[in-house]
Amino acid sequence: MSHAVRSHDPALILDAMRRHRVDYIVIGGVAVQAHGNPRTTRGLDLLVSPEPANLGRLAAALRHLAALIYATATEAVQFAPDAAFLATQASWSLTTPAGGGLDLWIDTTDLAGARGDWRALRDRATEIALSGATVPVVGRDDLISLKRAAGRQRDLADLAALTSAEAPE
Amino acid sequence: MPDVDELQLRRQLALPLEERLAQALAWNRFAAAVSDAGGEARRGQA
Repeated sequence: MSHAVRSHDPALILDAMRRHRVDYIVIGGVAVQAHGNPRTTRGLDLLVSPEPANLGRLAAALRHLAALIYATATEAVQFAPDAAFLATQASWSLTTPAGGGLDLWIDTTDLAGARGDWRALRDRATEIALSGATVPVVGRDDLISLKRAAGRQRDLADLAALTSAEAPE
Repeated sequence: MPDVDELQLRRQLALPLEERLAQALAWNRFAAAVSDAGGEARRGQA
């Protein structure tokens, strides 16, 4: 299989989601960056709508990206996802030729701290203009709830930054 | 899902140094663009 994406630019992942009309919102470290904490991350975390049609569009985007699935902790292999396959788990840990991680949550089943389902978080999402496209990002209060529930050292640092006066929504 | 940060670190360390550096540069550029876009959005809401 040839890789459709050879650049390292992570924005190409979001571009594939847009082109394939995937319903998603950005969560995780990139959402923290968008809400005003300029910290590093090497992965893109997306919460996606569990609707079967959306999973079909997501599968097409992943095939376009030549996404890889981790067979072991560090070894990623090619796969050919479809909607039925993606529906078999509530979360997926993938990567792409763009590098870094691509972690997907199918609805909020596996997402500790989520205040409601996919639709509730989407309705409260904020939107940013990135590379000429509109990118939905989890709302600040929902992000705070996710970080509080995750509770790792990095999450607590994010929490402190998000709840400071310097990062208003 | 296992600890994503720990897994990401292990996966990064498994890559050749040149690939790691290229990815780091790309993600840093992306982070800067996201931060700028988030700042624009917040200013627009103010």
